[in-house]
Amino acid sequence: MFLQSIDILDVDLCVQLPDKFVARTRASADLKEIMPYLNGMFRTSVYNHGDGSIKFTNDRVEYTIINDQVNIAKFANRTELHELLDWLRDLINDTYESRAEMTPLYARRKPVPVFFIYSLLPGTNCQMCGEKTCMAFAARLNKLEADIDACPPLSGQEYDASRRKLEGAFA
Amino acid sequence: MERPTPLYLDNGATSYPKPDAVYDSMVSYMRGNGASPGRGNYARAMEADRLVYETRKAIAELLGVPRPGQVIFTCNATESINMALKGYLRQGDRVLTTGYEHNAVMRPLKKLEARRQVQVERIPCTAEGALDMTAAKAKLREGVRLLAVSHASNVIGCVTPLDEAVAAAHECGAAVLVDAAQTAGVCPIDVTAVPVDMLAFTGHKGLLGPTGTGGLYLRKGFELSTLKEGGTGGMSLSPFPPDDPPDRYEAGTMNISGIAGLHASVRYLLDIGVDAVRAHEAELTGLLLDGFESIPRLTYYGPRSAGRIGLVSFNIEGHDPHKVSMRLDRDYGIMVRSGLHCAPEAHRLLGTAPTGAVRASVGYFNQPSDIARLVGALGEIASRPPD
Ligand SMILES: Cc1ncc(COP(=O)(O)O)c(C=O)c1O
Ligand code: SF4
Repeated sequence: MFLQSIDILDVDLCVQLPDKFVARTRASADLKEIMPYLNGMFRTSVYNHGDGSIKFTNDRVEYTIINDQVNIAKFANRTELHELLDWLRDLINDTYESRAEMTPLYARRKPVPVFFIYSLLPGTNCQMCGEKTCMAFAARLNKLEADIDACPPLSGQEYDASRRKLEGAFA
Repeated sequence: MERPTPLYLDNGATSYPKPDAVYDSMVSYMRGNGASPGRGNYARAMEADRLVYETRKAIAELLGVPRPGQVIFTCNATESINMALKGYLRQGDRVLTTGYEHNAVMRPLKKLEARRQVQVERIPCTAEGALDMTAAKAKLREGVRLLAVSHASNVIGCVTPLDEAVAAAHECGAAVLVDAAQTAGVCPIDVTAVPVDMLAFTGHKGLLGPTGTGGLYLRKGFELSTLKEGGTGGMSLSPFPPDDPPDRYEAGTMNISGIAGLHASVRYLLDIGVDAVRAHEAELTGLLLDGFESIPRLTYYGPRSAGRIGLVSFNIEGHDPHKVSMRLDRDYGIMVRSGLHCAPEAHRLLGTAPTGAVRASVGYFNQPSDIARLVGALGEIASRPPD
C-alpha cells in the first residue's frame, strides 16, 4: 500500500467559521508524486508543482497538502475528520494504483472570470450556498475557494445547461 | 451436595461470557491510555479518539450504515429509544407499534401520551407474534408519524418482517424506529437495504460487548431534538449543542472503557460473521424446541419456525415460573429468567400475565450439550410435584 495512514497532529477551531474545525495531519508518505493526479481530479485545485503543494475543496471541506503535511479545514467534528481521512487515504491509494491509466495535470488552472460564472448562476440570492449573494459566490468560485456543488438550486432541472457550462469551465 | 457447574442461559438479558478480546481491550485502554477522546490535543487523546471512531466504523460495517458518524453512542438501547421517541415525537403525533414491545418503548410512549398527547396504537397480532399487516397499512394510511417496532420480541422470540413494515410506513410518510436490542449481532441487519430511519441497539447482548454500551443509528439528514445537553469537546463558546451528529447527541464524557470492549466484540463478530452466529443459535433453538416438545405438561410460546431468535419462554402446568427458575439454579446450576421480562404487553398477548413465564436464551458460546442439560432438568422438575 502506498499510504498506510494519515495521523492527526492537532485539531483547532476554524477562524472563519465558528461552528467548524481545522486539523493538521501527517501522511505516512510524501504525497508529491500523487499531486498532479489530484490536480486533474478536482475542479477547485490550485497546484504548485515547484513547491510540491496542492489545495482543493471537496464537499465544502478544504484540503491543503504540502509534501507529507495535510491540513484539513471546515469539518464539523472529530468523527467527520476521521471519515475524511479514511476517504482521502483510500482516494490517494486508488489514484496511486491507477496512475498508469490517468493523465497528470502539471499546469495551474486558469481562473474563470467572475462575470462569466455569475451569468450562469440562478441569480436568486437565496443564500443556500452560505454567501449573501450569487455574486459573492461567483467570486469564491473564481478564487477556487468553493465548488459549484455548494449551490443546491443549480442541480435543479431548469439549470441543467448552466450547470454543464460551469462544469466545463472548471473541468 | 456438590454444586453443579454453572450453566448460563440468560443471554436474552445480557450475554455471557464475552470473547476474551473484550476483557483485554478494556483493560488495555484503562491501563495503557485512559484519556478522554474528542477533547485533548495530545497524542494519547487522539488515540482514544481513534478507538471510538474505529468502534463506530466496525458497528457501521456490521449494520450496513453508510458512514461511521451516523452511529451515535449511548449507554444502552433504553437510552437510544428514549432519545429517538422524545427527540422525534411532537404534540398530538400518532405512533403505531406492536403488542409485544419492551417497556423501553412502552414507558417513554406512556410519558409522551401524558406530556405531548401522543396517541399510541397497536398492530393486531397473534400470540405467535404474527402481525396483521393489512390492518397495519390501514392504520398507517390514517396519518401515523412514527412506526416504532422491535426487530424481535424478547418474550415470544418472533422476528418482525422489517422490509414489509418499512415499505408500508414510508409509503404513508411515517418514519420508522426499530428496537434491535435482541437482534443486533445475532440476526443480519442492513439499514441500507431495509432503509429504517432510526435503529436502537444495545452493546451487551448479541453484540457481546460490556454493559453500559449501546447506540442509535440515524439516517442521513434525520435530525432529532436532543435528550441531554452538555460538553461535546468543541464549539464550547456556543450555548447550544452542535448541529452535526454524532456530537450533537453525545454530550458528556463517554463510556470509553465500555466502547473499547465493544470494539473488540464487534470485530470478533465481523470475523466470525453474523450468519454463523445465526446458524449456531438456530440449531440450539431447534434442539430446545424439540426437547420442550418431549416434556409433558410443558407449554412453550412463540412460533415453531426457523425464523425465531435464540430464546424460548415456557411454563410447566401447575408450576410457578419463579419457582421453576429458582429450582433450576439451586438444584442444577442453570440460570434462566422468570417473570415478565420487562415486557408485560407480550405476556398479555400470550395470556401469561401477571405471573409471566420462564425464559431460556442461548448465546454463541452455548453447545448442544447445554440444551440437553436444561431439557433433562426440566423433565425432572415437570415429573415431580411443584415446590
Ligand atoms: C426488546 C428489548 N428492547 C429493549 C431492551 C433494553 O435494553 P437495555 O436494557 O440494554 O437498554 C431489551 C433488553 O432488556 C429488550 O429485550
Ligand atoms: S445558492 Fe446558488 S442561487 Fe442561492 S445564492 Fe448561492 S449561488 Fe445564488
